[in-house]
Amino acid sequence: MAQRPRQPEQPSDAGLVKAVLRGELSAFDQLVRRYQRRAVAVAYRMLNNREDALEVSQDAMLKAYDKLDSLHNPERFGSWLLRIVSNLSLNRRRSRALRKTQSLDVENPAGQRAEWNLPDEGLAGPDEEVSGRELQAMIAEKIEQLPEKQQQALVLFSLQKLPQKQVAEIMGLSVEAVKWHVFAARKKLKDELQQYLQGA
Amino acid sequence: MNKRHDISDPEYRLRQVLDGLADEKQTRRVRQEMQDDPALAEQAKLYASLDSQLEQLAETPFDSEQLEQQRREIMARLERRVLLEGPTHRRRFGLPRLWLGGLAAAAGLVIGLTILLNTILTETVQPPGTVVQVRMRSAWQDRPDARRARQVRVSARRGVDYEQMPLAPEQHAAEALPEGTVVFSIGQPSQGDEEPPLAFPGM
Repeated sequence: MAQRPRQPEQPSDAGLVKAVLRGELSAFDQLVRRYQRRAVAVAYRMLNNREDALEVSQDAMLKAYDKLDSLHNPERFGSWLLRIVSNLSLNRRRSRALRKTQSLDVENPAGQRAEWNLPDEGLAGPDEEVSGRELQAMIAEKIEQLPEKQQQALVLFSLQKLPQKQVAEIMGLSVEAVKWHVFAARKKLKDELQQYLQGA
Repeated sequence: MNKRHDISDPEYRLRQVLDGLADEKQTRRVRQEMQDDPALAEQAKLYASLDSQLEQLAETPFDSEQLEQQRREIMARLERRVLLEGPTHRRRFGLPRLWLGGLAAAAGLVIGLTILLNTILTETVQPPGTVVQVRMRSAWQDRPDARRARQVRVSARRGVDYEQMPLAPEQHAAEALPEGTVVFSIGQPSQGDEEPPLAFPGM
């Protein structure tokens, strides 16, 4: 992943990973400090929920510790961790969607599908002007409802500013596929929020 | 990528330019298209607005205190685990080496035992030089020429001692057999036998 500028004396990811594998727990603490903020941010943008994001990112870091000896290229720890974070976020998203569907089935036996419920949550309707904060909330919710790959690609590339090659590595896709998913996601957001974006 | 991905879509090329991923030629082309097509220019403005909003979304609502609390929780859980179970990774790394060592030792033991048993059994049952003499009544005994049979030493290790086999003129009892057949008749000497017929080779 894109490395933040680090002091020369700071150990490399590979060095820290090897130290953890030798049994030095403090080395894992350094890896957590290095990647925690980004891990939480990715989970938050994919789940649009603070508690879920903290929980999923924490689970991801614990899982990373458990599976560390399966990491073939320790220098890629950052990308590998973000892959775990985004996969766990997708899992959480799916289980949440399932619960929502089951709940709707109970409340709505006629099988009516839920529409995006932005106005119901106190946000502006299409004809109303929205504040910057409301627009942010709308975009966040739209991102949450994007197809999985589009969402993942958009969060990693457009929000986390990771290089496309690294996003491709994290998602297990080609760079061209990543480009397409990012494009499709942004086009969808642009089309659906067009009237709000014009006034922003 | 699949066939549904239409990268000739003007908006796709526009996005490549906005992301700085297009080369100079593509950039000039898209700029020209924007001049010629106000709708595409409008799309560019919308994308720019969206990008600006996404920039702001990149900031997370978590303060340092929350992240520090999470980090402490992660490390506390790992420390508890290491305290109770030992260093997980060190144990995992040790296992394959133990398995390999054990496997090699077991293989060595099996090979050693096989060689040892083979030697012991062979030596016990058939020590070198021992001749097996199975005393049975010879099938040829009642033949008139049965007395011509000679005792032949048969070693379980070395087989028939051919030097002791009767010479061709003595092999009258085997006349009925196809040429080239080797017959052994191992028999128990009955009472009154002058010479016990133990093995009767014939050709």
